[in-house]
Amino acid sequence: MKRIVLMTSAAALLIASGAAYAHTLLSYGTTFQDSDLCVLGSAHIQHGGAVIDSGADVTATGQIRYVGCSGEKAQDPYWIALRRQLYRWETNAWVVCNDSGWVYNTSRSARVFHQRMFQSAICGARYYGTMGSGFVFQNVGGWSGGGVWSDYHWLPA
Amino acid sequence: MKRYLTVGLVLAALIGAGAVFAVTRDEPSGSLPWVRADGTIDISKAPEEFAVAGPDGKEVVCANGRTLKVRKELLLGPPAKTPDELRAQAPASPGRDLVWRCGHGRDPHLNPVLVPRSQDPLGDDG
Repeated sequence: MKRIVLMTSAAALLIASGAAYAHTLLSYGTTFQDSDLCVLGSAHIQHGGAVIDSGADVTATGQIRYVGCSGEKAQDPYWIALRRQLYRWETNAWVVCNDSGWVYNTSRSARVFHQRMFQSAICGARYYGTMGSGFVFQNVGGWSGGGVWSDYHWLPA
Repeated sequence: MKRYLTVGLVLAALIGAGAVFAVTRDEPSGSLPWVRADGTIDISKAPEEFAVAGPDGKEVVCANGRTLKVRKELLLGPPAKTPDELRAQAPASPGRDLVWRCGHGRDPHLNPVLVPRSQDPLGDDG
C-alpha cells in the first residue's frame, strides 16, 4: 500500500513539476538555399525559474556539391538581418507581444544572434512562442531567407 | 479493497486537476498550418495580419474602436532596405524592443507604426 501511495505521489509531483519547471523549445532549419548559399535559422523559447528566454539566430553557410549546406560564409556589414518576435496565443490567434526590430551584422561575419530575457510573462499567463526571421542579402535575388518558429509553451504570469 | 479505493481516489483527483488545468488554459489547437515540420515558416500560408499586444498584454484597440492589425509582410518579411541604404542610415538602437502602435489618418488600425518601447504612447511595461 505504501509503495502504491509513494508511486502515485511521485507521478503527481512529476506532472506538477513538468507544468511549472524549466522547459526549452528549439527549432532550427534551412530557410533558403541555392547553388552557393544556405540560410539557416533557429528560434527558441525557454522558461526556467523566474526568467523567460526568447532568442533567435541566422547563419549564412556555403553550399557544397554532394555535401549540402556547410561552412560558415562571412558577409559584409548589414548583409545579414535578424528579427526576433515573441507571440502569445489569444483565443484563436497569435498576437505579437514583443518585437526586437531588425538586428544586422555590423562587422563582417556569418552569424547574427539575438536574445531577450524577461523576468515575467510580459503579456500575461498564456502560451508563448518565438519567431526568428533571418535573411542574407544577395546581389542577385535580394534578401533571401525566412522565418523559424520555436513552437509554443505555457508561461505563467 | 481499501487499497484500490485509495489509488482510485488519487487517480480521480489527478485526472480532475488535469481537466480543470486544460479547460482554464486557452490552448492553440495543434500544429500551425503555416509552420513546416522542421519549424520553418511558409509565409504564403500565414494569416494575412496579426494583432499586437499593448503594455497591458491586451490587443491594441485604436481610437476608431478597431483592433490594430499588422500585415504579415511587415512582421515576417525581409527588411525593406538594402545593405547600402542601411549603412547610409544605421539604426540608432538596433535590437532594442519596439512596439507596434496605431497610425494616423482615417484608418489608424490599418496603418501601424513601429516605435521604440521607450517612446510607447501607451506607456512602458518594461
